[in-house]
Amino acid sequence: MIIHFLELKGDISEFTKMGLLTDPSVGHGALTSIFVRHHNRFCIVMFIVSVVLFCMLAHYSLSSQTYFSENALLPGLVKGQLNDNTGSSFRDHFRELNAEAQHYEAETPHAYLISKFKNLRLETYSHNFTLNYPLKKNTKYTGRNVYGILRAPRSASIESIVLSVPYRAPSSVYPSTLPGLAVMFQIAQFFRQQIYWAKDIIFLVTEHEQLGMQAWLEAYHGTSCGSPGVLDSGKLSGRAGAIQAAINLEIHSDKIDHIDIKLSGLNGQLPNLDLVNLAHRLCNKESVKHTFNNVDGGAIGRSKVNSYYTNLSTMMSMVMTQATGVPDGNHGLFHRFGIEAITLEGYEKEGRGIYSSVFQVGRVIEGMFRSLNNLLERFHQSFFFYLLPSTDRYVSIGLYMPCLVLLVGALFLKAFSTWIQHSSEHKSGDSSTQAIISEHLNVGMVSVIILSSHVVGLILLPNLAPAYFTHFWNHIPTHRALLLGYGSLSITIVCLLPIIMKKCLNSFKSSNWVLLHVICLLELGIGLLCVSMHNFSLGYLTALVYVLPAVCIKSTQNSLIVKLLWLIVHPMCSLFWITAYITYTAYPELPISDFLTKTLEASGQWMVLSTIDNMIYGNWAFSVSVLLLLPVWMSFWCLTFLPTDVSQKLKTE
Amino acid sequence: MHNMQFYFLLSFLVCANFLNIHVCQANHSNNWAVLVDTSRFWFNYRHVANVLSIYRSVKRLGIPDSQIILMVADDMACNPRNPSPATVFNNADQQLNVYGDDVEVDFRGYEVTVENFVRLLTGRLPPDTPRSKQLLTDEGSNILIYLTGHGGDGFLKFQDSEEVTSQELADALEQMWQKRRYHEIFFMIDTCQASSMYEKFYSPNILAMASSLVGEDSLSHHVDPAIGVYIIDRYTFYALKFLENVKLKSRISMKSFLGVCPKQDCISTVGVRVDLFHRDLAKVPITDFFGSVRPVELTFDFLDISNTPL
Repeated sequence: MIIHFLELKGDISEFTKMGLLTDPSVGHGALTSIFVRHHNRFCIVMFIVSVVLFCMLAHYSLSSQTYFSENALLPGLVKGQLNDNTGSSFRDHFRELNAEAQHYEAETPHAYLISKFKNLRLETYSHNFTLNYPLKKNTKYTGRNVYGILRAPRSASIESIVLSVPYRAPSSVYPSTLPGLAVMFQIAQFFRQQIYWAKDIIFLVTEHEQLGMQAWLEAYHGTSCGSPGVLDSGKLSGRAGAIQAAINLEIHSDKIDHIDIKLSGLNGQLPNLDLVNLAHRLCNKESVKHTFNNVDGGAIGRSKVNSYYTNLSTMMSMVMTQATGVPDGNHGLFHRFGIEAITLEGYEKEGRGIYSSVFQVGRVIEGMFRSLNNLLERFHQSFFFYLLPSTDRYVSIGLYMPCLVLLVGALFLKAFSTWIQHSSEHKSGDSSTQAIISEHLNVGMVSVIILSSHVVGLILLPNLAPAYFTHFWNHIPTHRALLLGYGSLSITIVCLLPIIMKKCLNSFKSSNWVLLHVICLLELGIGLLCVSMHNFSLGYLTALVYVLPAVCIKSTQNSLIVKLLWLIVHPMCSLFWITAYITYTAYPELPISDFLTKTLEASGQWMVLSTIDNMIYGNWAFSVSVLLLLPVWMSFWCLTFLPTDVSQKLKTE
Repeated sequence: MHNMQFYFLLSFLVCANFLNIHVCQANHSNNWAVLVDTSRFWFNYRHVANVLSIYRSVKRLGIPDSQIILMVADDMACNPRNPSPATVFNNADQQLNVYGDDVEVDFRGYEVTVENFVRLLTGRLPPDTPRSKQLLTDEGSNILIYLTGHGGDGFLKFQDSEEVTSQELADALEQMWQKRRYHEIFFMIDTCQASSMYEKFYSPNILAMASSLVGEDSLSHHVDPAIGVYIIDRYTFYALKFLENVKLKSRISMKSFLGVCPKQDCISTVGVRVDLFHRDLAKVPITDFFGSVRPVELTFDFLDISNTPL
């Protein structure tokens, strides 16, 4: 009887053990203890593996041959028929356009464009928009786009395709797009005679580069993407159907060396891979030399290693372009509306030799439009997330994501082992464990630090702070005002925080600040994961910079080197380093003082551009840096200076 | 008395037996064709071209429109993408518009469903269905069933939304047999993994032929660069080439038709199933399925047509 009772008691104690929410036995297995003991080594290994894996991605064995997923495209089945035989020739269009452009040195010849479109028998409209410059009161810029619609002759106007050209006046700093515009006229003239269009075709000439395109798209969809009241996109008097795809033309000459296909869109969004493949396939078919990021894709006649380095550099250039989040052509603004778009940029053939004629390029566009015309649904089959190491190979998301996961995993491992170490240190007393832990965690102080660092981030948001800075320093140029504002604030925070921590928080002495440490690590990790879901390149490059310093920081007793290391990666400093590198590559022979001023100026301009991009287009690169990186940075900075009670720690040891 | 009855019964049985054999040897009395294109969308132009080409051939060989059930899932002729409206071609030379003047489509567009197809075969269409849309076959009917579209192992897709499985098809044919709705069937199918569609058949008197074996794709023959589509499938292309040489009085046998489209032409392997069919294929004229029996009544009496009103 007594034995039986004892057994029962044993059962009860087991039940109570199971009932605990935090099972104290977790984290004490053999594997866990190995991880915890050597977590720093594991973090380093994960970092190295991630970098190596990322570099491997460009290799032939990890990238795959591109292919078409969408059956409806029927790429390249039709024979290109665009020629010079009917109507005005390309030469006539080009000569006429050039004469008109020279006449208006810095403006767009709207009247001419409208009458030209009307002569081509297109439904012609123009569209006015206004930009209320956000960083200076009462400063307005106006612009006007011209577009013509070719209605599908035998179907309802429910879908459309866009062919756009940004108009650049002869005084523009960018290379001319007039040959592209003349190609568009030629194409419009040819398309007008065909009866097989199932979708409307919109021929669009935009003004002021991306601004005009953004205004037109906002007006077409009746929305506003940036801060309210900044871009007044106006109204459109004529619409076609829902836009399925768009092709933007930037052809700089009538003798074309090669066509570069540009993809990167706003916030790193990419067009569907099928559309990109379509462009490459048709360039192949019409034997037009075609490149991606100005690197030739064809692997023929190149040795293997050489081709690996070419692939790697192509992929890296794509990552760099994507990471900025700034579109590299007008196509990039379409992506947010669910419209797949790319830019075909035709570079001028310099000197003698074989070149591609505008008709070859015109037939590429004709073929693409015939294929797009065949589409029955929006692009949905192929990849939306990919990296391209070459024109005909791709790396899928399933292969490149692990690189980032390894980096973020290092942060999580660090957080996990810090927490386990802490809880095992305080496990000696059984009954009063809970009380001790809560005392040691300093929940109140930690939440104050986290909250205030995020509030600072919120205040510095690009649609709040810059307007005040420019208002305050309204006598100096905008970029200097911004640099001064953000710079002085950052320096103040960097200098003040250690003093506050040392002087005012002496009463909060604690053996270590595990909770703050773990929260910082987790926030950085989760934030990086979220960023990379949208823009892998930005997420990965940021992780490359921040993961190692973040892993080096301990929850107590940080050395001066670690603090210096962390100071170097302050978001403002990072911006400065990047700008310095770019300035150095652009002007390697500058003396040091000129170099520094130029770098500072350029950093300021970066900030202005980024702010304006945020307010007009909704680019969130700036927001990420002040809402994620800056608060995490400040919290870590606090952590390194928080007072710790060494004696108590010694005692526990 | 009992003896009498016994002999009577015996003679009746012998008689019935004799009659039965007689029926088996007798030729069919009429010909029908069920021609189905199951896929829609512009990029499936070739399937419509396939089915219209077969339609044209059987019509030329004498099956009247009233005995052809034509199901076409999409209207390629009026597709806005068609550069030459109101035509469907089956060859890039564009010599022959298979969507000519007298094409009677019985089921079109979204009417081409598995339900309608099975109801058509088994004679279970709603009573208000026009007679021209019904398969009014009897025990003397030879039926040509031609299917084309996208398929997989054991199914044929209808319209991107549903599919008929090989078992369903086999059961529908068995039901036809039990309801005495056919005499013989020639089943032809041009789709990927086509032979999977006839593997489940278990009803008698069916001869089946498929464009590819299980695990193989059926491929298209060539592209029309003006229309911008694949214009016809390989198997149908070569079958048509064969049929073009068939005249109404040709003595070409089914056996030679079953050899059409060898592997070097088709790329896929043409599959044939003969175990359900009990006649000697070399003695079955191709017109038993592709042509039509025209019932002719001979009379040896003189007819007085002088009083016939004009």
